[in-house]
Amino acid sequence: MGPPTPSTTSSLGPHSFDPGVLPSLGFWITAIPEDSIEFEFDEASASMKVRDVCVFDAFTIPNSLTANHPLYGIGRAKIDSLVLRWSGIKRTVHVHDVADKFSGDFIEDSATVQVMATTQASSPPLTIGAFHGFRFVSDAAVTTHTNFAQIGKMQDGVFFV
Amino acid sequence: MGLKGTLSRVWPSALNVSRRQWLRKAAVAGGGLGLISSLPQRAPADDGDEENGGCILQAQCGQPLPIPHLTTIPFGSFHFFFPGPADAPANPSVITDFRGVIGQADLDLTGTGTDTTTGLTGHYAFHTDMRFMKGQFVALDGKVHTGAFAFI
Repeated sequence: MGPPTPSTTSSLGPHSFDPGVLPSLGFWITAIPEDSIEFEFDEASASMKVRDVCVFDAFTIPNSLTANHPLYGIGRAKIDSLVLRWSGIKRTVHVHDVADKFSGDFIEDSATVQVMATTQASSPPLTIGAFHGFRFVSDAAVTTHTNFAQIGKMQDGVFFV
Repeated sequence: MGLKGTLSRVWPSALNVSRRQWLRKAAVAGGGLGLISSLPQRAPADDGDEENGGCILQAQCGQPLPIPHLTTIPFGSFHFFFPGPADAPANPSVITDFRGVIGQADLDLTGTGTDTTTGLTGHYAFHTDMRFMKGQFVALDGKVHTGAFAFI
């Protein structure tokens, strides 16, 4: 896929949302309110509900991870709402990994997601060329396919025991 | 969105490839190393003081550090494990010096994308690896903080 022409480009192309890399090198993470997480290990359930999380729309992963974002640049975006729910028990496992210095108890399970995200219309120099705005609204949570999911209680680094 | 290799990554159906698959294929293929994308972060305007260990920007001083493990892909090496069983082994947390609870979800989802300028719509299939980490962590300032983070 080549660079866009100077004219305004439709937003119905690829999209890839992420918060970027922190100066501390934290990868694709962003702080969220603590009360956005509900966690009940004994009931094998958890949820993450967040709203208005500012992210980038880097359009593709390579474009996100390449320093000059050569494909289109990057766009201003927001996760308007996100609800992730974990439930069930497929497998439980206790891990004590000396090599990677982490340990914990984990429940492998299933998860569902419902999300709405918006990319603002943009123009140079933020993006290479002008882009229409974009909005993604996911289908019902029950349509989610789980490739892998888990919840856990764990510790790593200096807390590793 | 992890719909990125997080909804993190959302990928159009036509591409028929997930973020995770793409990253893994890319990792297997090898190739030249790229530079790590360092994107601007929100930061407060107020300066730090002695009580904060001389940190200039409070938001940065309170940031967690990444796990030591590096996964190498053609664009560089990044501090994360791909999703998978913890006894694979694969630490699901992407921050180190952390004690708390986590959730990890490697999911496929579908939905509707709309060009908000023209109103045109299209069907999208996204792949996402999303996670949360909530608890205590030792931040860049060397102090123990509590907080929650989303990996998107």
